[in-house]
Amino acid sequence: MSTGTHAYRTYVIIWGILLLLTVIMISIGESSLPNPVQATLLLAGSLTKATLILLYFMHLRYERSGLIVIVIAGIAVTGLLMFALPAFDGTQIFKQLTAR
Amino acid sequence: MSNTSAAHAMESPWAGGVAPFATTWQKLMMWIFIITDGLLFGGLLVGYGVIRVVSPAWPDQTTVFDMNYITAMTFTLITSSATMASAVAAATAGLKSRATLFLWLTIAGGFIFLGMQAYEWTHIIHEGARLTSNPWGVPQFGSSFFIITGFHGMHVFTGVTILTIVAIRTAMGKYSPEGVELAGLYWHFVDLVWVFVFALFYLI
Repeated sequence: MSTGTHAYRTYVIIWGILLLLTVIMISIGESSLPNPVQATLLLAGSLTKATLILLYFMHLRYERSGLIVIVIAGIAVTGLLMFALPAFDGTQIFKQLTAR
Repeated sequence: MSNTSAAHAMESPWAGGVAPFATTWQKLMMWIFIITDGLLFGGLLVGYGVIRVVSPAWPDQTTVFDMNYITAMTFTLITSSATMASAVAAATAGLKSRATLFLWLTIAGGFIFLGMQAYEWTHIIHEGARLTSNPWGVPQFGSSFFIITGFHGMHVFTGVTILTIVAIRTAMGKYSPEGVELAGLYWHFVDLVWVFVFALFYLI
């Protein structure tokens, strides 16, 4: 783990990038882009912010690859599976509701 | 397998050995806790996502929430995460008073966030939002809002409590750099969850 002035400088840079990404994401949220494009861009922005927090603030980049893999597989992959499976059902329910 | 290749295999991160993750059990347990807690929020956000997919209409968040206010809440939490990372760096370098200062700044950020969230909840409740109904249409909007932000707020409150104990112990000299780092991991996780709550609930 890095310490000293170098570490503080890194944290200030990451803090600035996170604030900038937040502002960009708000602009995307308020834009008139089509919903699927907006959602994709906002999810990409969130994943970028989460990666920066994990790597730099939580020091995951200094950990062994085994730990990095269980964190990513544990949260991201399972989260995506959790969404993907009921989302198919959800679209079917949506079609039935709107067909009434 | 020759001795050289066996030694090389044991050096590999995937070789196992007595410490396969090359970290202390406390830190490993904290990471495993973060993964399981991440799955809890993953479940809540996925449930919310399915409700959104199923609902024919959803209230426009900009008419319900003051987005400048929500942005200020987000900035506060991100800033407190940066001060927490600085506290960990100071504690690791053995700078006790600097670590204590950054810890108190982080706690202040946490309290400001909680105060802002309490105000937001009060405002929304006065507008007529409840767990089962709200003035903006889809009943699930209220339940999603209160459950997701409530769970997150509870985590922030827990984090502030833990950080207060760590800050007092650090000021008294009864701290270990790893103790500060573990508290920091939890605090950054709270920030990490808000990144997704902010995007999925307030922006999409």
